[in-house]
Amino acid sequence: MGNKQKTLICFFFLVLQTSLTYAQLGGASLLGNDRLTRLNNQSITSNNGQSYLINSYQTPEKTIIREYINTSNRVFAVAWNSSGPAPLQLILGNYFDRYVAATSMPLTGRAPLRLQDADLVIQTGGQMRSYFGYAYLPLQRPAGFTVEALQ
Amino acid sequence: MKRNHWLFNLLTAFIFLLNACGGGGSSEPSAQRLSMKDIAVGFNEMGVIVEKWDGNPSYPNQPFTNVTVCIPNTSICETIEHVLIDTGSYGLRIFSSAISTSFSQIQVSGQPLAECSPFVSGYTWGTVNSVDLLMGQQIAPSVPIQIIDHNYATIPPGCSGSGSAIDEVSKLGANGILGVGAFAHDCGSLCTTSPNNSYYYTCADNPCVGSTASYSQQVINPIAKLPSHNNGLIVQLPSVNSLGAANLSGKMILGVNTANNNQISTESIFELNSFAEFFTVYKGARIRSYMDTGSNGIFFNDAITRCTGPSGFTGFYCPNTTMNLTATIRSYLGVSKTIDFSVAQPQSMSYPVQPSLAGISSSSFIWGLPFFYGRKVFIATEGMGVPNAPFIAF
Repeated sequence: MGNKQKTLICFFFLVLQTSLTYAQLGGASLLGNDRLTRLNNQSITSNNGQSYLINSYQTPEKTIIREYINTSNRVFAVAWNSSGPAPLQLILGNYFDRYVAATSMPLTGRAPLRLQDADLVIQTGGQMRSYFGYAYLPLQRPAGFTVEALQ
Repeated sequence: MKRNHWLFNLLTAFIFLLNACGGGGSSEPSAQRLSMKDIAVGFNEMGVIVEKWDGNPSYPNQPFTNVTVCIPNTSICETIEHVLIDTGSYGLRIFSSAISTSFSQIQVSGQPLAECSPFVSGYTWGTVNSVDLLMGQQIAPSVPIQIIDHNYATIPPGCSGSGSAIDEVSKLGANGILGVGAFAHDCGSLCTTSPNNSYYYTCADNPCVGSTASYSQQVINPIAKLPSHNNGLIVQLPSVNSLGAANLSGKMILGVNTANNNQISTESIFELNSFAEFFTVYKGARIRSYMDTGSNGIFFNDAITRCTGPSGFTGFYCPNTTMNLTATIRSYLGVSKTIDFSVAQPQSMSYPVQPSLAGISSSSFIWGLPFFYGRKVFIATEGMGVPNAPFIAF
């Protein structure tokens, strides 16, 4: 095996690793993830003129994922609907640990999560067979983008 | 040599990451068997109690009942106390640490069945086992239940990657969950046809693999398995002083329009959609909405002062004085009813009954346990012969 092939293989592993651990909120699009079926994409202009892209996907488990991508090609918001356990590690990427920490806190409600930090907002809800939620990065959203666009 | 080194490092990192993603339970059994107060049980009635107990350090407004589970067709039985009554899920789930009897595990094509069960605050993982379940004075035979055990096999990444592990009694504040919502099966049709359903797995080998589960194998709202009074229930709780209380007792009446004690008379019927939801209109906005004894407050969106600081009540409202508010519950068919409710600061667990506990939810309006105080709420299960079910009525 030549050096070039070696490099390619290693690069492939690195990319694989990256795609498993770093997605998607705050990072790159889920586009190209071969477990996902792309449903549609839509270009939107926010009410003060900044544009962003919405991609939607379906997992084999029938979770619907929407990602909102800003002009820097970063996912600044996500929304999901699922009938069962949702792939939140995939959807929230590096923010998944903060989601888990927030839902693990003692003395929070037996209730949906509402996390509202300066850099991260997460809202979940639902009952068995029907869960839903959204998350966004307030500091990275396009000007004029409002939460209503996520619901 | 160098290549092996490279690949070795990469694979090690990869395996480390897989392990890191795999979650895993630290399940120190913390269940303590307290003697729960005697609670009324009739032929089609079960007692409900809200009280403080050692297994629930954190959550006010948790309604509990007792369940008695038996090895099918035997008199080997065990009663589990402090099981959370949850109208937002379907099926019985008990922590393995709270149960000592061994029950046979359900097999799919000869492979042992396990389940990852989704809740809005996390997931439970464990085996699916068959029990006879005593409810009131009837036995629901051969009911698939989940025995929660996060040390069983290896939790699949699709499960651990869904949120926080509810792997100990203290995290739930209950020894188990009795899901008695408006559907029968916990997953439904998706799981009967697709092994990629994120609920069911078989675990003959490691790792566990996704599995179908037929309707008779899925964890089921056990009321639907009773020989009679099996088409729904009533949750009936007394009203409470707005300051709260140390405890409260009420009842769950099984069946809808099947006996003298469960007739719908003047109540309004609110039909539910396929998500078991209706609408609530609050301050002019129409929001998707549901009723859930397993949520411990009323959750909605308003600009009311939010709790801060180390109280742990992040996400709850903390107004200076009690606020009296109004919202309208509306069905898809246009039936509506106006509801008065109040919002006050959360109190310590000296008051496990807190009728004014409320918090933030911007995407849905959730009528948790405070709604049920002072009401008699009917829930009619889908597919059990009640016209227009699933519905709620109150």
